[in-house]
Amino acid sequence: MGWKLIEKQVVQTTAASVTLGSGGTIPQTYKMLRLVVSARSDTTAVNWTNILVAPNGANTNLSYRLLEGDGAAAASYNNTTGRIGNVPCANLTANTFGNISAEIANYTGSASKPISIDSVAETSATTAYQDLTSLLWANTNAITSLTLSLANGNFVAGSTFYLYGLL
Amino acid sequence: MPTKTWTLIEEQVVGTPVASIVFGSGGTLTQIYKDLVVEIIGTVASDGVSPVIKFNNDATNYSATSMYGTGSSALSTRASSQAKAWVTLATGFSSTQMSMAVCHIMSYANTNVYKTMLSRTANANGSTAPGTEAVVNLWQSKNAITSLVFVIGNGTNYASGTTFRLWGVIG
Repeated sequence: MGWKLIEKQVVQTTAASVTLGSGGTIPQTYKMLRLVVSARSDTTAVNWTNILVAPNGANTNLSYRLLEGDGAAAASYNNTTGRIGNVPCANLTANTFGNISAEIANYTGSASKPISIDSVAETSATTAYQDLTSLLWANTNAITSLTLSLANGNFVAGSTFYLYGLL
Repeated sequence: MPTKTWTLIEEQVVGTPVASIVFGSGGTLTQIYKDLVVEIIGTVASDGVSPVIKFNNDATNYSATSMYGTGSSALSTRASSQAKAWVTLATGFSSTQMSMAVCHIMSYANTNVYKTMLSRTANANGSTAPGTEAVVNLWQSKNAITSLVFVIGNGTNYASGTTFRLWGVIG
């Protein structure tokens, strides 16, 4: 018993999105899921961009509240997206990635799904981000897949996505 | 074969709403692990109240420090000389949508140290006190923790369907 690796994906070129449990195949036998991501965007349009999760491919019925430190100040935000963190983009220090660990409770249950997230990204620049986030998917369906995407750009090669189950 | 790290000690799911849940009743919590992890997933009868924990049912010697975000404000708060350990100190659980807390209790069986608990909670959409919060609690006792009593901050109940899981972490 303990944490067991369910699936991993490593981006080889670039990818607009990554789906874990494609076709609705995340096993329904675990007590909790943990999603661990290391990612970077290839866009030059912005310096930082949000990474988003869509349970079962859905980007509705999602809401979050977060606490953030950026190296100069602390702030708190809320919105109705599946934001799980901030990742650096192509204009920032090379080879730096954002890292996210998200614990998904009640993923097999028939009530809403709370998700607790820690995300960090350090680029040795003036601004970087460390977030604590509460995310809620207010949907009664069991989670059978998770689709990750970026608000801007594509995941670069070397971005990794690991899904663990706790038993 | 990989070494297992977390072992489920006990799980309780609330049927009829209750005011308290106990793990290790009578001081019977196993002492073989390095740390404990407690998950609380569910709702409470009164929106915005916090789950609290009494170690060995002790009602003295607790203090806590919290940092939290409400979705509009980033804040920190503290409480000393408390009668329990607070899972959340400022936000709380929702009565309408599922909230979650994961609490790490360090060195629970060590009789040479005071006991520290770190908790992370997620209540994204409650109506009274939603937010995200990290709390550190100190129990100023060197006694090994042999039971965990979960009650609610203002005397209300844990709602039906609320799940409590106790995990042992191998050192």
